[in-house]
Amino acid sequence: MAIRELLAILEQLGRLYAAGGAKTAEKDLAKIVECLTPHVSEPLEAFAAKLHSASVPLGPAKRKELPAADEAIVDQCINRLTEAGTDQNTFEQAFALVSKDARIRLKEADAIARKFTRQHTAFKTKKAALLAIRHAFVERARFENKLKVVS
Amino acid sequence: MTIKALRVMLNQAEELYRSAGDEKAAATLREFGSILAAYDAKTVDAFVKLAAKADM
Repeated sequence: MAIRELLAILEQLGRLYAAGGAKTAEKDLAKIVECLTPHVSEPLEAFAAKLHSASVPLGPAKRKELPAADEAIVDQCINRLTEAGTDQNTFEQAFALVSKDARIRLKEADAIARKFTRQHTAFKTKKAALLAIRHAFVERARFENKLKVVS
Repeated sequence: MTIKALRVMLNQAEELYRSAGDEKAAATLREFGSILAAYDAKTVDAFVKLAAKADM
């Protein structure tokens, strides 16, 4: 069915509503007529298909990808921290280097902390990642001290 | 006015055309009403905007 036929009916209805004093109905019908007019020669089904495609959301907005962690820096820091073993002084030096290194952003800090602590959950801040590294070291050092006491 | 309210109006008009013996006009309004049904919650203005988007 062509939109032309529908338009003729809607215009007729609009005149009827206008004569009856139904201004809102008349105005809204006029808006519908106006939006259908460019499609006058199209079948109603084609207009319905266009409407449907226009109403379908385009999908979720793409999130801005954070740059990946610099693996070289991560490996370098992990080596420093693990080489310290349970030695407090060596660890403090390595930890100070890691926390002061400007190249280490959240991604790097998260990767270092996850590798060092063997945790799988991501750290939301650099501060939390560094704190987790320190806690893991303290736990390991305490555990080793307990073993020494027992033996 | 919402599209739902507009559809109620068109349904009434469809009945009028049918009772007047104009079955073709009634069928046209019924078909248009069934297309509009998917946009019941929208206002006429929002529907017009959507139609303009469909034109692009």
